[in-house]
Amino acid sequence: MMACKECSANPVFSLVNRSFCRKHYIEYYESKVLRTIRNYHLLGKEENIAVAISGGKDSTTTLYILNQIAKQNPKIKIFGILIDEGIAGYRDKTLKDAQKFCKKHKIKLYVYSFKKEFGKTLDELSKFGYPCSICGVFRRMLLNQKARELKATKLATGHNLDDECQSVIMNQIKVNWQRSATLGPITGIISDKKFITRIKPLYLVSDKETAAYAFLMKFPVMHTECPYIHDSFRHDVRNALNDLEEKHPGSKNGIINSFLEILPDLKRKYSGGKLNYCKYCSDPCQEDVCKSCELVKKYKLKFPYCK
Amino acid sequence: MHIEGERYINLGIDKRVMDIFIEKENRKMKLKVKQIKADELLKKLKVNPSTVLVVKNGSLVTESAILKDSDKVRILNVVSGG
Repeated sequence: MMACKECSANPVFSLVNRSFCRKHYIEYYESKVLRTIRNYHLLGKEENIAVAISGGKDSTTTLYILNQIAKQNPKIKIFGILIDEGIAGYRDKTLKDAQKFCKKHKIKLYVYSFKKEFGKTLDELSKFGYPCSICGVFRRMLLNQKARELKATKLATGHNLDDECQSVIMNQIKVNWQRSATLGPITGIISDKKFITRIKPLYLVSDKETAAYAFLMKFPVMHTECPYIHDSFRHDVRNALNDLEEKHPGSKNGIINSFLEILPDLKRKYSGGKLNYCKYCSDPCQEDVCKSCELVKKYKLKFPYCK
Repeated sequence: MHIEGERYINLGIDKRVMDIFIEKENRKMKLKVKQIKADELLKKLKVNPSTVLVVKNGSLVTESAILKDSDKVRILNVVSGG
């Protein structure tokens, strides 16, 4: 058993060529996240950050680390936004974890639900179509609109190395470079005052690294996954990448590092595209109608923004 | 062979039993083994190490940790997204 590289204590986490005790693992993890924030200029001098939280390990960790930064810098303010999609037996539990965490750390939490906003839960909507597509569109749109209403300067999400790797590969398979151009530690290719810039402080840490950090920090998070994930393309890509990583350690890092090299070119290539405004909700989009209004109309849902 | 409704694995190493809880599947198992390395256990259970954490008696351990028959082992899923 390889001892901690720094102090020879019993290890709790191993990378390919080094091991860490609890104390040094926490230091390693936090400095990696802080380095990402610094190197990619995720935070300005004055910010009002909305953190999209789900109660899972990634968003809870993102909220915790940004809150630590905010405590030391009075010009940086943070609050949480949670979208309750209405997934029985899953979101109801993670919602309680998020509320408990925010209460403990005195962080303001705003909760919005699909049921209240659209009149139906995701469990009910899943009868109409593919749940991950519906959820992704509505969640993204609600987060942007609510963050904007709450006067957020940026929207931080818990997306990590694994999530980004999966998105890169999925877009490659679907030959969708334009969508890949919107990825990266700080998102967006076309600036518009209606788009809240998204930042991903956990961009360079893996699922496993964050799960270990959340466990060691005793965050109240469940180590279970969304019941709908098994139906998704992402699930298959994720399994393939995990198999690849196991046989060839460092594969995920390699994919992301290669992607980061071409990302500036992709952003340049797709930054000149014309932006339309949805004829129903006037949010920026690529077509005449945004994806969420398209679904609202298609499934005859109610939505106050969609006139 | 089942013990009290829980799955039982016989590795043919020893008669003693280790308690294992696999959180992702919400499944408890008893493993007949004197001691085993965490990575060998994951291999036996056909679990990819990059998708889980191994917790021994409440403490996080690496895949090279030795697990003994008296240990309570939890295997936590690292993927929580969706």
